[in-house]
Amino acid sequence: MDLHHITPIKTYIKVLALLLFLTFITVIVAKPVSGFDLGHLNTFVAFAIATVKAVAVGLIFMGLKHENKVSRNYFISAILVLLVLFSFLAFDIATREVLVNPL
Amino acid sequence: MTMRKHAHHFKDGDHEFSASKMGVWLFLCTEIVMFGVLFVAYFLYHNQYPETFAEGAKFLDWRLGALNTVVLLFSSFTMALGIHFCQKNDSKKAVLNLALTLILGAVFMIVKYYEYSHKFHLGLYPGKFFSYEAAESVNLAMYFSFYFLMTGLHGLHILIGMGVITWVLIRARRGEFNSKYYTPVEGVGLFWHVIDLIWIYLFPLLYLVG
Repeated sequence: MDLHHITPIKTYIKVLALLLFLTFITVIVAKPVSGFDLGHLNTFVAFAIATVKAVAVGLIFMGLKHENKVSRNYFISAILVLLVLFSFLAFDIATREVLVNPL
Repeated sequence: MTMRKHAHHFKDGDHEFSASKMGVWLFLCTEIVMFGVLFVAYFLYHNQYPETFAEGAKFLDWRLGALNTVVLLFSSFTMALGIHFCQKNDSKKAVLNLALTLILGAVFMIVKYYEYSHKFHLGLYPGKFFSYEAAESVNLAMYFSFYFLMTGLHGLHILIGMGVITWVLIRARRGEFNSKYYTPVEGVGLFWHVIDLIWIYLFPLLYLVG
């Protein structure tokens, strides 16, 4: 860890370029934009790209790369809570009986 | 420029800095979980009423969503530079970058204003206020409850973020920050980046995947 780490401007510019590039990619592979239809895979691709962007923001912009262990683990624990939540959601959706739309 | 003394219950300035930052991180965890729960709810109902959500998503313009994504990414960049220049004792450039961040935040809200007013004009309000008559799905109002709750809560964060950026901007102008003390800018920066982080997920969820 490095308490007062100073990230060089060059690194910030590279990260910004990466983020803009990924935004461009995620837009052009989206169904409403290009008609690119892979079914559920579309959602997966969109969120995979979003996750790469989120990691870049977290590590460099938010400085998690140079953060102390305690703060970093706080953040990781929040992500773990979300993962538990999302896995319960996945179980729920996967095992739910097909219901007739009540509306 | 007077050197600021750390609070009496801390060993030294660094101790104060890391403790303050840890507090901000803990707060950010609650933010992430709060938005995470909304995402779970969205997916759950999306799975039950896919047609409703597909119909609702048609009212969103991905161009405006993409524009706002780019605006927020740039604002995160200028925020990071704001901290960078505080660390380098360059108050002038720090103030400039904080001001740019503030302007980009305002641009985001202006785009949001246009998006919202278009929907209000059509009567696409959340929940019981919904008055759009050409809806195909009976529960289209539910989609807009999600839409306004998620983007509204996010927009509220932008406004609060702009408020606290103004606060550190004024303090930076007074020359209160330097390489030894820039804790408030760092904390505000982390908060601003988390708002960007949430938008990184909200954008594909609402505008691209539907």
